[in-house]
Amino acid sequence: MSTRFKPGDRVRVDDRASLGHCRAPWYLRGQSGIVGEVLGTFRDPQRLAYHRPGLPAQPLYKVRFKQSALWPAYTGPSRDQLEADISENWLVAEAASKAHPRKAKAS
Amino acid sequence: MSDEHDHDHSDHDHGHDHGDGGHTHPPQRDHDAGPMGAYEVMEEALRLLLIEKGVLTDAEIAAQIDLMDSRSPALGARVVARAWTDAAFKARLMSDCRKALAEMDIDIGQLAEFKVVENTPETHNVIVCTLCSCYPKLLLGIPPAWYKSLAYRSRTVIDPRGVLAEFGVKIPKSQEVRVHDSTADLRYIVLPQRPDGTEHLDEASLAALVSRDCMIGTALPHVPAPAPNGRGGTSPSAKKKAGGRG
Repeated sequence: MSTRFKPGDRVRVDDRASLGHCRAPWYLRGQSGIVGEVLGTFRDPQRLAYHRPGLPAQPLYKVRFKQSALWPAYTGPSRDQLEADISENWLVAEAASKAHPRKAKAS
Repeated sequence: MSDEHDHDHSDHDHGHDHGDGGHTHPPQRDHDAGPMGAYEVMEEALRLLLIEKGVLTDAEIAAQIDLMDSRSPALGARVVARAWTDAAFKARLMSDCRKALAEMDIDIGQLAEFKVVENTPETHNVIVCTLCSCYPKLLLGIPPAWYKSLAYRSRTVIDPRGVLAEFGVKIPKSQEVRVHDSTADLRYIVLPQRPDGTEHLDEASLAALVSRDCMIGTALPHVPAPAPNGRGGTSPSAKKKAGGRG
């Protein structure tokens, strides 16, 4: 299995729109996280849902997000995190220094 | 028996092979059923079509329902207790859940992979599925209704500590709360921390401490308090204290 990302890589969930069945939750789109684990390769749910074979299969990553970055009003400690399983075709590489896209848009 | 036989099956069991060819049974309604919703109509139509076209048989559907009904949180609790008492098993469970469960004759089917996340003094894990209601059914049985509720699914990612507090679980600020949103093909189970004071318990007694919610992350296992009269934790008050969900 060849994968674009490895544990420790900084990634961003793509902020593109989607119609119909999609397993990249909206609340994570445009959000930056860190690859925690490569979970394997799975057939693409967005295609499987419409009676396609779901190919090419997509590497799946456990991506870790800081809660305080996801929710500006988060009141828990800054160490709290959220992990979600995101397909490779929904992830883009992000340089460590890149500003948060939504914050950048707002400024 | 002709095709005109009535469908009150009180006089025999539910083998539906009447030997009279492929006639169709009118579906039996619950005695208190309301009008069918659109999705119920769709499910029934699809199911009957799949049977009629020979894609599935009603026996296969019944067998799958039986399989699901045979699973309960007690199964998951056994796995947790085994992991607490057997470090090598725990290591296998964490690295290859499917294989480790197979050692215990637990088949998790082919629909999804399972993954165990371990609670430690540093980290408390809690499971949610924001997109639908993914749940490790083949280990924990049918999920509780609240797990599928919009409130649990949305609030657990936004305010996990608040949700946990409502379940009676107060996580100290020194411990990280880690939410796992099961958005893809993995089903998550929390391996709770083995409570202090359980060193003397065997695997079966340990399993009894592990409720369904402990494995979702919305409860912690508790040790029965020793009875005040020193006869061991069998008094009603001790039982009550040990109670909890599931």
